[in-house]
Amino acid sequence: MAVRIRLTRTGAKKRPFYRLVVADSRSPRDGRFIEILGHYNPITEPSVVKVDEERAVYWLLNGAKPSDTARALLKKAGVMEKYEEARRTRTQQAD
Amino acid sequence: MSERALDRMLRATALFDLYGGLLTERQREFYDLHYMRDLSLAEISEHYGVSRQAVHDTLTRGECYLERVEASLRLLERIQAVLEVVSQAGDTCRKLQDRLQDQLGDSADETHALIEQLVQDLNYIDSLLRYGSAVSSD
Repeated sequence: MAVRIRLTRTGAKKRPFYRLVVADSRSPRDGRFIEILGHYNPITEPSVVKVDEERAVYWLLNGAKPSDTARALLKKAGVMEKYEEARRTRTQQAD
Repeated sequence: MSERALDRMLRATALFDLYGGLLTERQREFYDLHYMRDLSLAEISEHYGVSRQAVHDTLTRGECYLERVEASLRLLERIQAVLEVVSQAGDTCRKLQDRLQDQLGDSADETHALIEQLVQDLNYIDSLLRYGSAVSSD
């Protein structure tokens, strides 16, 4: 079972607002998700990205695959760096 | 590359909000899944039992079409330009109010009311452009 991190759009027409969610890849249509990791508001100047870093890193370490756009957002929020770091320390511990 | 993915998604959805009704039902469906729900092309192709290439073609054709419509109508461009000016005018109003307060104190009430009216009009224009109606939440 693949777990993915995606951006889903909520908010009204012409007023985008995105949620960053963890979801099972098998239930994409109904919008069900496992957990909300944060949100992204592109309308405000500058745009606002808020991510629960700890949970995001947790899911990434457990093999959740982010979509292209989710990855871009996680990078923007500095989560990808933290993930790389966490992964390195984990492999070192395993050695 | 990934920063571009975000920009591309935002542009695609902005065009879709304006002109989405012009797409075919299939294009709209794939658009919704790919850009609104963030499914990968591969995931969409699996769900519909078509090839990944077919999903890509459908989406690209739809995107090209919406870009062509925008190239002729320029609605998105105009809306964004006007929104920019409206927001600047709002800033000017706020500065004006601050200045009045500093210089005239409470005796500036009437002028304040006029500026307040102007701010409300600007907000109204803003919501008309953004949501197509004056109701801000739907």
